[in-house]
Amino acid sequence: MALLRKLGFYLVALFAAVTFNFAIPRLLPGNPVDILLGKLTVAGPVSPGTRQALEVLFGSDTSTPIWQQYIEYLKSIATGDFGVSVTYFPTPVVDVITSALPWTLVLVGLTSLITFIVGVSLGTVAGWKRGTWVDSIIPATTILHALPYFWFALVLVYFLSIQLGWFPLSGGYNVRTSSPGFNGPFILSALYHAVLPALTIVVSSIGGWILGMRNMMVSTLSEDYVVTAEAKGLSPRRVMVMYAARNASLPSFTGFAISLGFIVGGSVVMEQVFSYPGIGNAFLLSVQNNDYALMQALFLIITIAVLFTNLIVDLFYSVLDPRTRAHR
Amino acid sequence: MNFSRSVFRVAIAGTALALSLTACSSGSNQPGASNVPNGAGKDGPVLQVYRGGSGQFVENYNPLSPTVLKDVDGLIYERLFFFDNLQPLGTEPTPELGKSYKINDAGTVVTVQLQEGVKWSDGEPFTAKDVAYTFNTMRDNDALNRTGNTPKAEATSDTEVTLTFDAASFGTVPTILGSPIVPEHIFSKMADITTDTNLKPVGTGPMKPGDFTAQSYTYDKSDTFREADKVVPAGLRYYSLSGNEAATNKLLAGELDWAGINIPDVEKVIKSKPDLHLQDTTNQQVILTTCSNAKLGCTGPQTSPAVRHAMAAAMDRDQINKLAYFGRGVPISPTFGVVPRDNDLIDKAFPTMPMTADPAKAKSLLEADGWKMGSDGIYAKGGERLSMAAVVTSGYTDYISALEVMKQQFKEAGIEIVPQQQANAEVTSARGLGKFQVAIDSVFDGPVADPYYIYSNSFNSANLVPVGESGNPYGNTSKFSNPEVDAAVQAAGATQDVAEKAKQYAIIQKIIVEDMPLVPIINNKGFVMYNDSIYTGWKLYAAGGAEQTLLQLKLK
Repeated sequence: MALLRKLGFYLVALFAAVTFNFAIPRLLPGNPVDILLGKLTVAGPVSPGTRQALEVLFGSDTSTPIWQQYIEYLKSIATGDFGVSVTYFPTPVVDVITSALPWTLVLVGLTSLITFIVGVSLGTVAGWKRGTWVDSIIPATTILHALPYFWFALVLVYFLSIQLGWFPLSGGYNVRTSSPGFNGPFILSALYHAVLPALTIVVSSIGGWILGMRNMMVSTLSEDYVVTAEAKGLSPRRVMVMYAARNASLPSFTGFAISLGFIVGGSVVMEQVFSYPGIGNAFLLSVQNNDYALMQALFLIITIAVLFTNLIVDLFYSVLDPRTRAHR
Repeated sequence: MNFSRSVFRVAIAGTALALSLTACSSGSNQPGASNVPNGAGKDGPVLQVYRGGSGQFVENYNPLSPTVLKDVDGLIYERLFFFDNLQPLGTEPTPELGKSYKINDAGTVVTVQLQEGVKWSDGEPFTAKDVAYTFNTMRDNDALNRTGNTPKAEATSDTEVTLTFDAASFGTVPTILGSPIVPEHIFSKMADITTDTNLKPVGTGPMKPGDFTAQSYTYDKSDTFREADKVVPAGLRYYSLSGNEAATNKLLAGELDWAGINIPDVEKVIKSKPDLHLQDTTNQQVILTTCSNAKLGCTGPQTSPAVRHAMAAAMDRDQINKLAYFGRGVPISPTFGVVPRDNDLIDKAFPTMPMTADPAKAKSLLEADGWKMGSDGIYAKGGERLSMAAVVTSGYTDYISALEVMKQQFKEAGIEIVPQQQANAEVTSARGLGKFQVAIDSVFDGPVADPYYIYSNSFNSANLVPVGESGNPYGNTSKFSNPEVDAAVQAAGATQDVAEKAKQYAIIQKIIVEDMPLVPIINNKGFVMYNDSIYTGWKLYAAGGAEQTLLQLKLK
């Protein structure tokens, strides 16, 4: 019953998000035809009939009433047919997303997971050994956290790629020596290209996890049940992990859940700096080009991902923390 | 919206930073490990090319589609003739699939003689029927009829085709003869030509498609090309990079042979690299577009010609050139003919705009127009301050700094402009609707070196809609309207006699210089860069001249 109520709530949230998805891109000024026209104008001479030809081609029909567009939109969500991207005309939006999504999921997903695990572990140790030298990692990582991370990325590119030549400048893999697929050279190349972007994300976001976890550890350690556990003579390790860390990590899990959903949205700035072929790049281009179809699909996927991960964590949370289980 | 814009600004700031970082990295140079030949025999290494691709490439080899891959039109598909718009009007075009052409005196019928013995890459012969098919298809399909004036075509023999326009069309002929020709036996089988991506392209040009991935694609040399022995490179590889900073890094690292990157202060950036050179390929005539026509709904001080002339006089173009264009700009003619290329078409009465400011002249112009100096140092008339909003796309750094410089200069002459940075979509929409006072932008070259294209696009009342209606944001945005100019544009479009054109242009020039709806700033030359450590003989063109560039490359 509680589960059903939860699902019902998520359904309502999904419906609201889907409706906003429809409305927001339509509030943007301009239209895709004129933006493409601007690009063509800069690239070379444009003939006088081009604007009309593009309007016919993209089917920019403004005469359809808005409610009818909304119904069409709901239908397209139900069938998974999101139409054709204007930015990548005539590629279907679904193809654009499926080719960009793996890059983002693997890179941002893995690095987020690594950052979370390492950050929470370090935070646990730092809280446990508070007042010792371990505390010095807190200010160090907080400074890294405070850096604007596109700047940090540029610094990495400058020193490690341009000056030392240890890492590639940009891209997702070496386009000259490998081609995408499940083969050794490609996977190695992709991993090699992912080092700097991953490093950027890890270094710039780990500080938050450490700090949050460490502070929760400190307050949890002063709880009576921890004192009780110590008095019972349990091993320090068991007290640290099962009594203190388990309870102290709850807020971190909430934060992680929310950040998981946003993985799908990619990391717009990082992808720009490294020319990384992920969702963030597609996202930026779709907004710049007033590409309604692509924007809607991307927003929708992000919305669903955030809601879905929240649901999962909601369910998982009741396993972790019995207090949040609904009373029958 | 706010989110994406701020992110975009961050990205732009990042770009600027990366550029300044790379500008001082002179010591690093990765040797051209990139340029490993992947062709066999005597062919040279594969050219490494960046021509402005960002994001993912879309595998689209259909030259009739607006989102076709770069240089498919030019390397795989050829046109009848290649027109070089950097040469003066009247220069003969370079034949590609055509051999020669004749236009009748009325400008309605073009007869084209074609090359003989040309074959498509699948072995089928190329004939006049393919040419006729191409133009008739474009004409019959609204989504492909980009000139709005595609001729009816008829193959009169295997090597002769007749193109019949509905009206005198001297102005459209270069665009038509410069359109890619597609094979009838392939394209006629497509279900929908406008959206087919033509994954197995069959062309006549020097290249055929190689590998494709969303980040990079290649062309391989085509052995069936009629002048294959003149093509040295074994192929070309095109890259998608996130933008200027990534491309500049790659260029400076010696990993690109051919690059179209808009680098600020480019001469300083490439100074330490003796292999890198640049060639001017476009004329970007930077202007202040004013919403000038009060009758069509424009409001603000800029609707008075005296104010527009005062702005033109108050500009210190030398300073703008130095601060916004790093000294690469050249003087601009108020007639928008390019000096010296179009000298024969510019009335001698109109020299180029002075490069220094004359605030005294600006003030006397304003005072003669009834403006009175206010206590705040800005002129006013009837309670209205001489203050105008000037929109500019955020991230367009040259425009933004030019506007900031002008803002200071105009203050000296008692004129105020308030720069407003907006997202590209907002600026485009404002321009289309006419809901702006002043905007900084540019007029660009036409398909041949003829100011006709600028006059018929930006000063012709045929392209006009009143303020508030959605018009072409790159058409007649100043809302200029004058029947004499319309008549002269029409007359100039109905002749190919350069002297007669010049006569008509003199009429237009007198009126538009007096009215000055577009305030000229400077001619900023666009450029393309190349690296001559492997190939020499670089001759670069504005748009679509890839085949001509390729044919002249030699190994060093």
